[in-house]
Amino acid sequence: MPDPGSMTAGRLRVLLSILCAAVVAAVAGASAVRGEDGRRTPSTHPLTPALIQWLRLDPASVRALGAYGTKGGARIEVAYGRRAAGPECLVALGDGSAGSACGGLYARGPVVILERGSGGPELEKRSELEVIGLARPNVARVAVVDTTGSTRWPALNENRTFMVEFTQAELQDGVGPAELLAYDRAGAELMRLDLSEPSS
Amino acid sequence: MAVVLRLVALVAGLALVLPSTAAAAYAEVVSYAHGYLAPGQGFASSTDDATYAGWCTAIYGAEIDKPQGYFATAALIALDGSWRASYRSTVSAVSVTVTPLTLTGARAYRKKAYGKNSDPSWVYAATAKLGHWASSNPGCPIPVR
Repeated sequence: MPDPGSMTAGRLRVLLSILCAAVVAAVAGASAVRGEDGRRTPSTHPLTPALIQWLRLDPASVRALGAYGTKGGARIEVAYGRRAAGPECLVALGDGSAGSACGGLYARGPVVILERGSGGPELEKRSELEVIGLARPNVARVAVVDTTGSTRWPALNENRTFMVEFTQAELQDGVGPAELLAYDRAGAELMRLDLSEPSS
Repeated sequence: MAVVLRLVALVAGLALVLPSTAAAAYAEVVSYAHGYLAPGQGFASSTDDATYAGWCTAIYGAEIDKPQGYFATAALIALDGSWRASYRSTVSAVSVTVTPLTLTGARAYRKKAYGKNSDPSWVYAATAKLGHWASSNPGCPIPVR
């Protein structure tokens, strides 16, 4: 016959172990979601927990879309995230700043763009300018026409992002983005967006 | 048995206390500026280059909200008026922030949410927001370096 007293103690030990494990798991899980220890959440995207909080993104929604090197040596990373209230965000990060565009990403057509720059505000005083974009699946090719009329054809990566860079030398010559075009597989134009800045 | 009950009570109490402490760590203070943009017209919030007494308080960035489809620019502006960084998009909310999020970086630039209407015919309203992160000592949740 088992000793009833030792059986009760055994059950209590099991109960206590389960309770402790559940509490440890809950605390660890909450800490990872909040990122309160300052470490990055365990994923490969480039956004720190503090930046995710500043941008008001749902941490679970954030994912890396692409990374690009500039001729000036900067590394520009592109990510996607969704705010708790629903808006989708295209995020670019690099060279000491981060920017986001949040809302209905495709309201103007099947390509959303986030243009980032250093220096300025005048085009000639900028040290760099990049047109970053995210395209819907029906887009086969995109083109950026510059202010001289030349057309650049950036490659869409596996996540359908692209980047077109304007170097400091080009910007000093007054060359900047003028228009974005998007085409489907048949070559039909899907979107045309004026990228020029209005004169002040 | 009494020891076990005390342990259970302690663990349960701990579980209740942890989330509320973490949730109370941040306070976001947002200042707004509202205005209308005529075609080609620029609009900016009042710039803010203040340094704050609380060492856990800083402005980290600016955001401009506007109707979908019009370009707007959010910019980090140095004290001499030159732009450090800017982001522009037609999506309804555009933001910029210095990275990494440090007090030194946050205090180095004014933050201006800057909109410019690139539509030739429409006038629209825009709102510029400056976000401040504030927290009382001790325990600033944003790493301060």
